[in-house]
Amino acid sequence: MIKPKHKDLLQRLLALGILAGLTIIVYIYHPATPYKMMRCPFREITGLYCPGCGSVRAMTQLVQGNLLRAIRHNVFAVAFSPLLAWFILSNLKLVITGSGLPFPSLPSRAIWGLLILLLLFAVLRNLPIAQLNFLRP
Amino acid sequence: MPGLNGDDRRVPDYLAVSILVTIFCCLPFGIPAIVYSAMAKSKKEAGDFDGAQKDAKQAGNWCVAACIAGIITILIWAIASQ
Repeated sequence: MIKPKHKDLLQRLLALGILAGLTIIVYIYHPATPYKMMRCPFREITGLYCPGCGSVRAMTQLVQGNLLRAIRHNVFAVAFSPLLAWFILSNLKLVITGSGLPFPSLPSRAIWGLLILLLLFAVLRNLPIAQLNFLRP
Repeated sequence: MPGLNGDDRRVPDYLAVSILVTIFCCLPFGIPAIVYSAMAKSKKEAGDFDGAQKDAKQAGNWCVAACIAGIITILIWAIASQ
């Protein structure tokens, strides 16, 4: 078994890795970087938009304060961006103090509802209906 | 009701991380994470803490799998699209 002290260190390293990873992703995907935008393999292979399609573009717009453009890319990602921000804060705190922040929890019914909403979003943004264009990235 | 009894907090259900990996990381592995998270929460509400613990562990495993899959995909894709 891993000793508690080592486990603590491992957790901090992991949190540091997540933060570094997020920074690299935003840097790579940022329109201002001289780097070719890469398309998601899921999109490339299936030609479909998954619920995450456009989420990174949405985030790069959001950090610049363009809320409307961010929503245009991915409504779902923008809706959950406060959670992402909380997650990043929690990881920052974990790196510094060794323990993260408490996360909100939902009753099981709400989680199932969220899952259905997510799947519905996935289906709707792929339907060939012009009125649904606002859901596409 | 959730959150009212002290035992509720003892078992983490990885809900937040499950949602995040599904939207931002890797959809195919994120969905089972949310499903297991919901099942853990159901069992927790029913008072089955052992069952909840098992499902929560599965949810955590799927989160880690999604995270690793996401990282590997990004790395491969970054190299391939150069």
